[in-house]
Amino acid sequence: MLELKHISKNFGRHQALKDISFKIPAGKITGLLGPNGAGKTTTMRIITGILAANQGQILFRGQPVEPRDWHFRFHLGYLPEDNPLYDFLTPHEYLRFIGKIRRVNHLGANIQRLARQLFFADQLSRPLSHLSKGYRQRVGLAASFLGRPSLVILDEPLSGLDPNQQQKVRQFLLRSKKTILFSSHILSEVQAICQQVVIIHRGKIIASGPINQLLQKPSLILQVKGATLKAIQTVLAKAHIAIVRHQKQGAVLTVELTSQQPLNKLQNTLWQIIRRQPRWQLLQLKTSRQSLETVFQQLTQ
Amino acid sequence: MKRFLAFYQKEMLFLIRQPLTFLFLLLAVLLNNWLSFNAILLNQVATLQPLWQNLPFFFLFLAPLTALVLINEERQNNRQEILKSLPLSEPFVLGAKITAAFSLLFIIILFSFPLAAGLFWLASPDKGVVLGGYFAASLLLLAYLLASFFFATLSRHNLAGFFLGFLFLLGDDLLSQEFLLLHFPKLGPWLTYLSLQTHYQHFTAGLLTLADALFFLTWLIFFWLATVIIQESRRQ
Repeated sequence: MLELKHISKNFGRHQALKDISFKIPAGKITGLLGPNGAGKTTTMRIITGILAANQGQILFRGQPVEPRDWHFRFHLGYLPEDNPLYDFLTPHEYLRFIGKIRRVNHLGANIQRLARQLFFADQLSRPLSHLSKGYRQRVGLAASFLGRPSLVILDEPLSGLDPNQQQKVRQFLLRSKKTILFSSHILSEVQAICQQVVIIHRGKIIASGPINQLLQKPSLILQVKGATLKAIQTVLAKAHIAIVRHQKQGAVLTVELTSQQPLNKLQNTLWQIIRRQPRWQLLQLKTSRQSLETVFQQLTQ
Repeated sequence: MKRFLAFYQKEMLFLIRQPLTFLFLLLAVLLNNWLSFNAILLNQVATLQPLWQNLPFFFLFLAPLTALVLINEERQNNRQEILKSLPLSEPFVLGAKITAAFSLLFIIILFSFPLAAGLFWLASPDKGVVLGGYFAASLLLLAYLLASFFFATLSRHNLAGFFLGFLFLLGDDLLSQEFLLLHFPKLGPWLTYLSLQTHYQHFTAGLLTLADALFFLTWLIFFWLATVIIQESRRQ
């Protein structure tokens, strides 16, 4: 559907994006992940034409496009990170405005359908300034889907939503069958929604591909009795092993580990470390399928 | 056209849902009509010249203020991010905003019609001059708005944009004053010619010349293009 080729963006001397290339396949939800300041929002702004890239090309359905050309933006729906809305309008007026600008047919019916699907049909006549953040977020989401755009770009669409609302929005996104580029800090949500991910760090793409492929590499789970988290952290750090997650139940400490070392070498290193600690009792050392969180931390730390 | 009307409607809703809009408009309409009516009564001449002289002073303040409010509307809470992601060109957005601002401030001109009607009832003023005056006042409002939008767009700081616009229009007004001709006999006529007000005064006196029309047209085209270029450069 959309392909970014060798995109670079500078803000003065700061290089926000460094030669990034990735594809957004049609009909799939692509997650754009990265720590704060990694370049996610800049990437989205370049696709929507809000910013211009210093270098590179964008292909839409195989053809080069210029996102700053306003005609191209008929194909896009966009929900910015902070979801700015015109507070002096009601959701109905706002969606009507967006729909008319996008030349949406059967606008009234479309607004009603989206309002029902996103559960704010009873709020359509209230001023946007009176709505809670959850409702506002859903109105913004409805606006980005109005007119059936070919590609929907959502920057942190789940922020400000409670777990129930997140569930509803997740259902909506999955049912929509649209091509979506989605950024979020809630990695479990990305794992649940997206079919493929692009991980961006310091302006560079450090991993991309179908989510199943990324999660194939297993991680190590270590269960020890008699060790404190601080002590285990100190010892493991010396061997360049990082703790991704930890859980303590009584005297038993369970940690999920990550390292650049191969799995068998890592296991040997851990055996040796634990043997040197007389008070520690090894209960379990096993491999586990990695979560997206583990992969993300491994790649961005 | 439907898209333009939708955008225009959004701008108008924004303006009319601000309580201060009505306060400023009411004050401007009342003050303008009262000052103009008094001057017409004092002069005992069947002309709307006092009205044409007063209107620029109201526009001088209200045009930069309206431009500021409409530009700030998008800057507030980063709403321009939504606007810039919509299939809209910069001239389209500027056109809709200027049309909304013009419609609002045209109310001041519109509410001076009773004054003109009263004048026609009491005496027989020259119809051509009165019509020319209304045409000139509308053109002046449009020209002031374009300059105000240019300065509001130029500055990223809202108040600075307002003051730049206000000072520029005030400077333009001062250039048309007679003291320049008295104190600078050689340079004065040139400076006076550069003022939009001078050409406006020709129109309101019933003199429709090509030179005045071209001056207005140049002003409008210059500020229109300059504002569009600035808006487009903000996407870099």
